[in-house]
Amino acid sequence: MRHSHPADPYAIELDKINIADPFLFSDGDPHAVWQAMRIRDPVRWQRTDGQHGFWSITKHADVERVLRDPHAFTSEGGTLIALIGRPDPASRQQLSATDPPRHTKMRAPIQRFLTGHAPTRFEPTIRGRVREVLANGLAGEPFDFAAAMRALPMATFGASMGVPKADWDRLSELAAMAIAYDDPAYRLESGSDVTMRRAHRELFAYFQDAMDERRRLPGDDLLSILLNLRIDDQPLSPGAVLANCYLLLIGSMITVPEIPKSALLELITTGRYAEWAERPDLLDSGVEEALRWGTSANHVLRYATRTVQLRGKTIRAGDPVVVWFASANRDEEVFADPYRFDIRRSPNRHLAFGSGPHYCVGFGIARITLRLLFEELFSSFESFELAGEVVHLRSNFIAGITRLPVIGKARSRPGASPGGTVADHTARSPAL
Amino acid sequence: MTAGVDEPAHAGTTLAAAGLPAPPVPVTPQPRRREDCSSTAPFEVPRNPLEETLVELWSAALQVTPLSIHDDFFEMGGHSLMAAELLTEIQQAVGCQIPARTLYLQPTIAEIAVAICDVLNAGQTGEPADCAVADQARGSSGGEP
Repeated sequence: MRHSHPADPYAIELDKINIADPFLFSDGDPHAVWQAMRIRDPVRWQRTDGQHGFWSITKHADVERVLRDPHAFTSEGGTLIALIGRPDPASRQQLSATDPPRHTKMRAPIQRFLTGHAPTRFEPTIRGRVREVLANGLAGEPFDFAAAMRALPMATFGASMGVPKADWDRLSELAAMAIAYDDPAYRLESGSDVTMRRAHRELFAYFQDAMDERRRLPGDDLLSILLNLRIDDQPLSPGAVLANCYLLLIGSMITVPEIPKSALLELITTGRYAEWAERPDLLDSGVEEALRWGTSANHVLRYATRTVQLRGKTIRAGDPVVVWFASANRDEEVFADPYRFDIRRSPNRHLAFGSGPHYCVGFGIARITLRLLFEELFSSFESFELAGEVVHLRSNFIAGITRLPVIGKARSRPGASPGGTVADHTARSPAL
Repeated sequence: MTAGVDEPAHAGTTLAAAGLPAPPVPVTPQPRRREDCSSTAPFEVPRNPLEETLVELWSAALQVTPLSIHDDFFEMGGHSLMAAELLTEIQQAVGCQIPARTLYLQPTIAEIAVAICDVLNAGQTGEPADCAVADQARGSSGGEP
């Protein structure tokens, strides 16, 4: 998805726009549409076909209002636009499709694992993977930064689930098919639906075998935690365990790989790479800005459980309500100069990880991975330039880039291996 | 707000379609007859006790009767979460571990019976009667996709 700088909120004919159209995200300019919606119709009914439609929520305050009130806006009817009009089999089985209080009990042990000792424990694995995926760029030849980033999340997902490294590439590929089944890069010849089903079934089959194996040989990993999880003394059903494995995989494949791509593209095209690369002290605030800028999860869906008035519109019980994170993160009322990538931005109350009870459970490990990635990037590369056409992902769910060919100029440090540069840099950033 | 052009056309459809209010248990299908499903497979009754057991487990999960041993689990209304439960039940019933890909990627009773026999034979704990018929099935279903 392009991160444009729209100028005129009245230039768009909103009635002609279908904000759910995947082509808008690969070939169009969603930020121009969101800007128009925020300013002209921030709580807008979008008709999708004769029978269905949804409310589009585009203001920061309204997005927070919806996400922080799970009683009025339930997650249990489905959480993605693609699911509108059909029941969600994962309802009350999968963390993301479960409301409190059940959600709170399901989330607690997962969160404890992901924010407890896991980040420290997995840091060497993440660091190793970061070096591995960036190594191709050090020779100064064109390399696809998008492909490099796709390989990154397995360091966190694979390690925390206890998945063998031999399976990482296949899982990445299936996850990409499951997320972006509309995109030509991943869609099978037989079409989007077949692609999605095939990916789902392969992944569920994979996790089912992993689950059976883990029952026999439990370990200190997330899959074992899911298997031991009890809610009101009841274990999760096998389907619920698998649905949560799937969720954690997809979750890991969104923010971690996409944020560096959108940030690097912006830094290259505005000629401001060096400005951030030379300022390790701005690493943390820059990562937060990269999160706001890229906002990889475009939307999430809720259903109203009762009538709610919002900015003069009547949302009725049963209505699908879609909140657009990327729009909220460009809200002029919250962010000064929202279309500027500002590594010093403070405060930065972005919603890239969501808000309320469903705030991304992997936020800690995602932040650490992003910090390590940018640290290594800046300490290894002096500059980057584009080396070919950038291709944007065709998906209304993920703001993504499928192809980002770049040439990087490696820093000249006589005698220093890429590993050495990371060690130098870490020494400058005790916060990690 | 007055009824404007951007007001949703309410007929209770979104509420019903979304399965709201949220059900307290996983979405379970309503009992159906096979004729009401979209199966394109030929009808064939189970040929041995193993396939009979599988038909019973499938019917209970899918809430569809009668079932052909060539029906596709997903065409009959099954979904990935349901498959996970069903596979666990099948494994308990036959007392062996079957590769999950069998149910997810070759989702018919005839094919799973073959897979179960393969596992049982490999472990030398199989029941010869069942597996002999499954061997036949392997031959007869050779032409199926």
